[in-house]
Amino acid sequence: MDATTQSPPARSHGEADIAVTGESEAKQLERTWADPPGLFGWFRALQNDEVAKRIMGTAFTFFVVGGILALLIRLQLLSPESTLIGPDTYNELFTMHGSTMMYLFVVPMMEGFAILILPVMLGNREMPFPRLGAFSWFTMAMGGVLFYVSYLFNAVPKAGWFALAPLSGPEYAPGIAMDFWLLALGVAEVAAIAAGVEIIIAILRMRAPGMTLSRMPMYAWAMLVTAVAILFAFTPLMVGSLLLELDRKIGSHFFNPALGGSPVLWQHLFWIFGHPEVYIQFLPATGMVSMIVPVFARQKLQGYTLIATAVIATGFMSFVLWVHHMFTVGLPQVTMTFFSAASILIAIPAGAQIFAWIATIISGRPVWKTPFLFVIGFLVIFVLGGITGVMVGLVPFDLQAHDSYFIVAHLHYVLIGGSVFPIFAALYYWLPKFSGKMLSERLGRWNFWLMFIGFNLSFFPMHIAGLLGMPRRVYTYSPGLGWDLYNVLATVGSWILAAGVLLFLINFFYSLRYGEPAPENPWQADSLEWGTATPPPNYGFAALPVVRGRHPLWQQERIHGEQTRTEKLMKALSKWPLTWRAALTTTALEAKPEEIFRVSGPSIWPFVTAVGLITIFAAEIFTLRALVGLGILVIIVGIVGWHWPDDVDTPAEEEEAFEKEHGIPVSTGSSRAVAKWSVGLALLIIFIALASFVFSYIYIRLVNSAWPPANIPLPNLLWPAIGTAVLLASGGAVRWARAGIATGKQNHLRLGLALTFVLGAVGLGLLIYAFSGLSFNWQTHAYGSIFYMLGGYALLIITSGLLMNLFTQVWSWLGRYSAKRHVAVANTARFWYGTLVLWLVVFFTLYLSPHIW
Amino acid sequence: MTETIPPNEPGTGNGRSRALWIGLLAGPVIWSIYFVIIYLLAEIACGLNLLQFTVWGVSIILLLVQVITVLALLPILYIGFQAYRRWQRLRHDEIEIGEQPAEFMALGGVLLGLLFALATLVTGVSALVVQPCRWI
Amino acid sequence: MRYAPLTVPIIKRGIFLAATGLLLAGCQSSPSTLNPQGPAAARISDLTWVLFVVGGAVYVIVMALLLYALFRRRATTQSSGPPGRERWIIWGGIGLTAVVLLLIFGFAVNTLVAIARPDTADQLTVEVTGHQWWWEVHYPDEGVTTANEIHIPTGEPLEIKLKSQDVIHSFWVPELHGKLDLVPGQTNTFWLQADQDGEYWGICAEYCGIQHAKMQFVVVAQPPAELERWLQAQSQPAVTPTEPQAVRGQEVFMEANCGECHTIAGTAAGGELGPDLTHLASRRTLAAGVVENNRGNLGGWIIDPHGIKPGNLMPATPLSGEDLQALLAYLEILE
Repeated sequence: MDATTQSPPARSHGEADIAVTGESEAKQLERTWADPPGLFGWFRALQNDEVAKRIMGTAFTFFVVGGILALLIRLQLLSPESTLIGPDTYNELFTMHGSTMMYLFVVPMMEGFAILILPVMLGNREMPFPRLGAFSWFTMAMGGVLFYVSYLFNAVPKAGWFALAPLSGPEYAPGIAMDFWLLALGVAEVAAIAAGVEIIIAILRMRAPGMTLSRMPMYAWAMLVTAVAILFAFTPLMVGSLLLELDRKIGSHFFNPALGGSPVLWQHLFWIFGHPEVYIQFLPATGMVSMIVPVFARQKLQGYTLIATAVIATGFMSFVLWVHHMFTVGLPQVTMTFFSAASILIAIPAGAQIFAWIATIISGRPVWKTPFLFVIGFLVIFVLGGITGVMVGLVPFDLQAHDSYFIVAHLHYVLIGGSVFPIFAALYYWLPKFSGKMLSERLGRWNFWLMFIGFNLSFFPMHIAGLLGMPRRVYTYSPGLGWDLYNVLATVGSWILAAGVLLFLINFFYSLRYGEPAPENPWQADSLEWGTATPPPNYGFAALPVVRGRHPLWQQERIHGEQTRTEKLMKALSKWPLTWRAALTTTALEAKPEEIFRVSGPSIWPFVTAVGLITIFAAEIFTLRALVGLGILVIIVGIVGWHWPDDVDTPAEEEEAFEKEHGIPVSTGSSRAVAKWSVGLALLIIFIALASFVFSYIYIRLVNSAWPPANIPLPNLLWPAIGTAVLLASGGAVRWARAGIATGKQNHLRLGLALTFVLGAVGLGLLIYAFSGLSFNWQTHAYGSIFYMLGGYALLIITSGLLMNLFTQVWSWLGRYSAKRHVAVANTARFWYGTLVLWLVVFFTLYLSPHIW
Repeated sequence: MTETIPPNEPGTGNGRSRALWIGLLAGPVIWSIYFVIIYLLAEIACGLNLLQFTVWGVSIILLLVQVITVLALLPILYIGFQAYRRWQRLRHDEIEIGEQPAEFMALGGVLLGLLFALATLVTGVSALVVQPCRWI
Repeated sequence: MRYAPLTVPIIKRGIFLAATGLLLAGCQSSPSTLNPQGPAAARISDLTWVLFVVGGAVYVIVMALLLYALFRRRATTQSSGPPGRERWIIWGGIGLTAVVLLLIFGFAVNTLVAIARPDTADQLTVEVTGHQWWWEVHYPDEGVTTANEIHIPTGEPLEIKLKSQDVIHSFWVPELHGKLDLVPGQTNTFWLQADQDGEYWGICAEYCGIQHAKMQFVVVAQPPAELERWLQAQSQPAVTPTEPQAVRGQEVFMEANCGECHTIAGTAAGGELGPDLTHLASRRTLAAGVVENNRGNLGGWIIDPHGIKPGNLMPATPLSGEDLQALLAYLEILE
């Protein structure tokens, strides 16, 4: 435990790795894991380092752009009645600033960081779905660029970053500006979800042997909870965006009060995303702080279990705070009190983390380097933001503070203090590892002090302006209201803050050229990413490290060994296979080696799929439906190409020999555990969307006194009920098919899948028939809108299940499955079960519930 | 499950692992479900004007909220207590607290159980003091 | 590097002290939430001060602990102390946080109950409807309609029904109460009370489009008897012009189609898109609290409304100088 006095290992861990592996093997691995060269190769690249650098570079660019917009905002507010920037432009500026920072900077930045450091920090070689990572970058970058293309069409969104309906609806935001907001950011949201999926699986199933859940670096805990929260938060946002886009494009009435809709529903759907979003930005930052504090305090993290549970608790609680953004909407007092209670209590886990960090510093011995300075800056700023956060969580105070500059001050204390300062700490801390060059400490300190002083000067006065009655989002204000001075201070502060950020850029580019070379472990840190060469080789680790504690580099002289069974397995894995990208899955809780599987290699298809996606969304902005169709076609081709199995050249005997010798299954295709988790997560996303639709249904029902509304009869149960029965029967068929292949009976499998398909198709046909006979449509009333939406969603998922079944059937006729390897069959069955449950929920909601209430 | 079980997954049966996960996450999961239920109940009761139905002068809905609060509190406390006993059994004082996976999960369960029991209590009690369906 | 962090608390403190001083100095003219003029705002202001004190104390404690952690004297050889003290800090901190949170939550719920709308049967009711970017004010029982100016009886609660004609707005008079949104499709009930006669500044607090910043209004608190007289006067139809210039002004008003959007009770003008002008001359401001209501501003507003309030929905009306003077003469008699 005594880290400061521990003598460094005789040779570096990176050299030890190569010694265990062998020089030529290491070279071969480096080639196997390299991205392809050339321009075409650039589009096929998927190495986690490369993808992460692209994501982070793009995100930082958007940070700079969003920051420039903020400077313009502050210039306009420098003096009262300023005419520097007109009201329209001003409203565009704050909309673009907020949306850019929220969607295009912090979330991608955090995910980029995770993709960059997780594989090495967890002691593995790659993320589970490198192609998904590459896809995430393409979509994020294209979505972000599309968002700014709105400037070229002079159709810049100006409804604020939360785009309240009806201001964002068809009547009050005609034209295509809001479509840019909804659809371009929709692409970026897809990117966030995609990266979230692979982060979850990487953390739970791809750690170094011995790195149990209870030894995992705290950053991994934070990212795990964050990634789960991303799935739960971004999905309702996509649902809300879809409903608003439908209102705008096909005349549905989800948010139109004149025909049964509710503008408040938008606020619910938005804030169910919007509040967790704050924690999605904050939790990764706490993870970074939990890594940096112990290293610079020269003391292991105090209260590990407490911090991990605080992170989990924060993740759960963050989902039931959303109504505190809606205290002034006129909701029932009892609702507000529930949410107020939750908003207050989330300060307990936040406080627990802060006290644990302070305790760590107290018992340690601080080393003042730039990353640590930024962490202290984070504590000083964030604690204040947290306290004002508790204040605005209290209903009466919020009635005054809401939508005033007090909120602007609070949210910047929380987001800049809680996310941006830790991001800068993390950049100073981790960049040398990956760039190979140390950043200048001297510039770093200037950078910190400029940002710290500029930030406080800019945002502290806003608290006061808010309390003095200044509402947010005003493009100007009258003199004589007593706000002038605070606005001057804020504007001056904003320029100092910007100078700090500029200094960082200078420092970064200067270091790339003239910086001192970074050693393997420049900070004497404890976690595994510092136990490989700088910059890390393509394969991360050749022989995966075996972990024996929470602080492997402080506690273990060697992280690669040859004694134990696991160490021998890791050594063997470093020597075979060398020609394909092998990675290890480990069990979730205890991190025991479970399976060796093949991580997918470079591919153009993620790019193609992303192009298809952006085509659909971009074409929909301009309502070019033919182009939308083309995009769908491209996506289908892209997905098929993406998943087309590659052949490998290792003979089956080698695999079997390895399996026999080390007692671990080897898969040259996808991993069973990873595949199972990915279908599970896909179903999770589908069900979160379902829950959002059902919530919308309930909400719209509650704002209408008659349900169904006048002139619409109660739903007819006959055909939907028969269809449901047929669908349920197909569930039995798929179960039977799966049981067949488990015992190796090929025909049994084929017949079962065919039967499932026929029953499923008949059931689907009956449901479509029932829909075609309805006397109303989505333009009739909000009832019709949500009826068609929910029904259409169910039909879409059922159709996807049938398509999946079809692909599996083709492969079953080709004889690709065996009793031992039939992951795809199992997944098809799982997906189909999920589909059936989903349909039952929809059946109950659409057809039965109106008969009950 | 018809798939082959990996050969080198010793003594950690799926059952034990599941018990550990339940012990860790029961508190937050139950509280989240509880919260969604009482929130929707409040929305529905105020939306459909159900507060007027009373029994012995007490609104049925408000009574229901309290009953649900107790129903949520009991399993949180029970599972939290189980986690506490497991932690007492498993704790090693000679190494770092919670470094063994099972001990970690048990201790985490205790902490989360405590926090979310408090959260349930505060949420439930707060419903008693306000005028339910009015804004202010 | 020791010198650098020492300046942290000094700067922080400096900002805080300066800000507090300025806060007190700036109060005079600001519509400050901390200068409450009604019972609801007073209760919220009390809560705010309690939160400042408690939150400030917590902040000071945490920062003091952090400073101690960073700069405590350390023996040169000893690397770290026994674990007991750290555990104490963590659990003490959590316990303190929890207790403080529960106490202030209780106090806040208490405040919430205390600022509830009083149930007095005979209180005056006023309907306020939000429009992009002005406020329609209607006293249903008295049949009075005006705009951007709400007259209330001093010392008595007033019920306000909030509605919206278009997008979401929010009703905020910082010195009298918190805010409540005006949501299309629903009617929200709010209340106000001012303890002193006077004029209180209000503004839309929910972003509602291009002129959100200039959607302001005035609450005028006056003795009940005076309010009675005001309502009486406002419920009368408009004055009929007698002077030739004003008579001509009324013709200009009709010829320029002002009546398409504006109502003047007792004339053919019955439009409902813009504010009711029956008693325009009695109002304090023009263009929703943006400029003082005087002849020059009114003329400027009619000729070039977008100069004062770019993007607002009133079209510019090109009039000859003579016609404009006539129109102004007419509008000026509408008291």
